[in-house]
Amino acid sequence: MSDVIVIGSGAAGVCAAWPLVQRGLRVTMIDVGVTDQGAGAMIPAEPWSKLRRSDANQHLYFLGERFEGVPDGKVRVGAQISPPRAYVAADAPRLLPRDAPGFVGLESVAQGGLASAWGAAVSPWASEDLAGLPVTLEEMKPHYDGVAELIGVSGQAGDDLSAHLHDSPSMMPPLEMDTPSRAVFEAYLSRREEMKRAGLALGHARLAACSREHRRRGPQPYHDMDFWSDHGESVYRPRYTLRELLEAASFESVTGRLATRFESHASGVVVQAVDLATGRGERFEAAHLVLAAGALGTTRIVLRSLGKLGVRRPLVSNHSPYFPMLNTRVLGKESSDRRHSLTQITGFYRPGGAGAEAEPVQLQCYSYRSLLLFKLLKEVPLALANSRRIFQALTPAMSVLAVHHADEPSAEKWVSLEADEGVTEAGVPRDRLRIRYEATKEETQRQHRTEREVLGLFRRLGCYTLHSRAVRLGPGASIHYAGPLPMRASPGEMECDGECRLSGHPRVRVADSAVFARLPAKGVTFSMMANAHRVGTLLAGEIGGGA
Amino acid sequence: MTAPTSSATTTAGLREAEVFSRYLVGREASPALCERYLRAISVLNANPCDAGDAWALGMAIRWPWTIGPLDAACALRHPGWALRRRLVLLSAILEASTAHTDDYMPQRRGVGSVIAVCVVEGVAAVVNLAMGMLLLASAPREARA
Repeated sequence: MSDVIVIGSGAAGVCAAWPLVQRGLRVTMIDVGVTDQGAGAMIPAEPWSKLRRSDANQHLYFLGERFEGVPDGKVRVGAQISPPRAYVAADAPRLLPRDAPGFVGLESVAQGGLASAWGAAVSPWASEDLAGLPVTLEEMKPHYDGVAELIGVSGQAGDDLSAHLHDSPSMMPPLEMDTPSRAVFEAYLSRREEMKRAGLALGHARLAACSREHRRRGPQPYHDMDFWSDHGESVYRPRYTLRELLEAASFESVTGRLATRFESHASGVVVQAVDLATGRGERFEAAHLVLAAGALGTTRIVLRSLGKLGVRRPLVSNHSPYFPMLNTRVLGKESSDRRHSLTQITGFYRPGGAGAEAEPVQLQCYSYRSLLLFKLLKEVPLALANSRRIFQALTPAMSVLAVHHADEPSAEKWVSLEADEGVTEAGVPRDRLRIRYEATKEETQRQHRTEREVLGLFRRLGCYTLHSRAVRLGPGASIHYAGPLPMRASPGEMECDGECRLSGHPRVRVADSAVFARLPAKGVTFSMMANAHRVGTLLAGEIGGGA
Repeated sequence: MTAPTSSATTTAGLREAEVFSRYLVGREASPALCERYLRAISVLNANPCDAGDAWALGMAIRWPWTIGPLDAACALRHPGWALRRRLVLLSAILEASTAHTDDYMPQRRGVGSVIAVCVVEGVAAVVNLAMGMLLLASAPREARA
């Protein structure tokens, strides 16, 4: 029998398992563990521009063997998930059915979960972001630092972002900015005081990407292939931590199993799972359970285990529109081929100016190149032959700005598990998650007002766009979800205590983003990982492992 | 509608790929790329779903000068029609090939040149759109139903 079962091999699962295994505890990780069996392996370790001119097989990974990389219909959630990363979302709709009209969020049953296609933005929460949670920044800080060391974080310590993002001692130098973003950043620096007074702060992106060698990974090769391949292993993926965990004798990974429910007793826990190869049920026993199946996956398991069918739980998800911008400062300028594909600039904008009370929104600035031109042309309401020539000329000066808004729970944002009899052929329960998510008119108006203010400031930096040209993929598109099993100082039913123990089930802890009652504008992934590390550390202390 | 299967259909499909390729990048795609295009249509079932959709596709293949105008009109009014879907599909296939890399790679141009391209192509796009809307309006009654 294991000391701890961890359900899920994603960013939260591996970060929760890490301190447990470091303490010598016996950990069993259960997940479906879908891996890339296709195009990823055939991508040569070459720069994007060289591959485009030399690799006769490029269509197999740029478009996919079944042309799954050619989008049909409107832009959908996960448009940045390229064919070599398609495995990340594969099988989830079949194994994790849901009824969620209008909610476009993704789930994953892949090894490494959704973070296998993570954009790698690292946004540690400040005290104001943790407000309302029964955990302080002082308690979280060692875990932010621990995770930063584990995954490798690059960024510029002491820059204008430091007021929003605290630095970690292990932070590596930032990745190099590409030419279009450097032009924006230099424009910001030349008007820095004016911009800061207006509430805008910009800096080098904080990324889970190694700018030098770190834990057998990196440095960043600047091939502009980060949406397609993991060559060089600069950008963090949970499988790298899983690889390190598997080197420990006390760690076991059981894949091909979908955990469906748990029973907790005074002496331990029993996890029921389905062996997807045979459709047969299996039981795993341990002293403790850590749930890290993603906010929706964990909620599904908890509601099913507690028999809470039809009970509504709160759900929050960041709204994150994208704005294509014309960056006039680089029109006609030479652009370096050496670049990465991730966020180039991170920013924060506090509505009302630097001293205002309003919560800031987070900004991420990208360049558009390696996702290929045809995807852009498809969205332009012009004849393709004309738009191809226009955008060939304009793309060197195109930037994309993402604006991330905070989200609060409300009566019209909820998730429940709806009953259905029996199991599928694969042995999976037929019940379905039901999701309803509707932002209030006031929320939407406030967000649009803030976006217009941000775009006004970027115009002053030479970047032009129209608010009406925003790409809005709908609720859930940020792939950041939280809220159904919130952490409270005095938890009620289906809530967690300050150490993320599920109320009434002291041997069950929740390590993913389901425990955050609200989402600040900052991406949740890094804070979820830090909290999972805290959960693992607290549990290791409670069990009292050796080493 | 079903995917093309017979040799006559295949020949017509290859001809369609050549015509569309000339429209998109100014020259015919290689036979291998045309074959890939046919396979993509079959895999993605990029076939007309109603009479208007079929009329526009047939018109574009029969009268290649109408491709630009009909493409422009479809882009605005009917982005889901087979003509537009097939043009996007061929565009993707051409872009992901070494033979057409330079047709899709970002181009460095001087500011004046960028403005000139945008003006010339923008005007051409508007003309295409106007002609395309007229063509759609002149479609037979059953195609407009």
